[in-house]
Amino acid sequence: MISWGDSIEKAVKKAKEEKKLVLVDFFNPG
Amino acid sequence: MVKVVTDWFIPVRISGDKQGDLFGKHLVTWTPTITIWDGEGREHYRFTGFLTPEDLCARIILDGAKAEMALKNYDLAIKCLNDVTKKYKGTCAVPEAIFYLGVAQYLSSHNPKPLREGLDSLRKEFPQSEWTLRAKPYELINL
Repeated sequence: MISWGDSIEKAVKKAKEEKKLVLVDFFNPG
Repeated sequence: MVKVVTDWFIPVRISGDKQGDLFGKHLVTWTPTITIWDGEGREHYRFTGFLTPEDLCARIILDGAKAEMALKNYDLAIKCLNDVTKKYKGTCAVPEAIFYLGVAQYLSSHNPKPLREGLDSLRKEFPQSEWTLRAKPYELINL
C-alpha cells in the first residue's frame, strides 16, 4: 500500500531530509 | 512496485479535480503524467500515458536512476540501471537503460569502454532502437 501525499512542497522537504527522490503522479479521477 | 516507490521515493498524487491549478503551474497537459524530483525541488524527468505494471515499474526505476546519475550518485544509478536490464527484460525501458548504464559507468570511472559495450549490446539486442542510433558515435571507442 502506497501512502500518497498531496503536497509537492512537503514531499520535497521530506525527500531532502530522507535523501530520497519525489514521485509526483498527476492524474484525473474517473 | 510498492516497494520501489516507498523505498526510494516520497510519493505525491495531484488530482485534477482538486488541485487543477497545479497542472498549469507544472505544465501538465495530459494524464497520467508522472514526474520525478529531487530534494532541492528540481524536476528531473517526466512521462505521460499508461503503461503495464511491469513497464511502469521499469520506467520509474530508469528515470530514478537517471536522476541519481545527475546527482552524482553513480553506484546507485548503476545498480538500478542493471536491475532494469536484468529484472525487467522485455519492457520498453531496457534499450534506454542499456544506453544510460554505459553513460553512468563512464561518468563513474572515466573509462569509455562501457559506452562501446553498451552500443554493442544495443546492436545485438535492439538493432532498430532509437537508443542504438543515439549510441552510434561510440563505435569509435576501441575495446
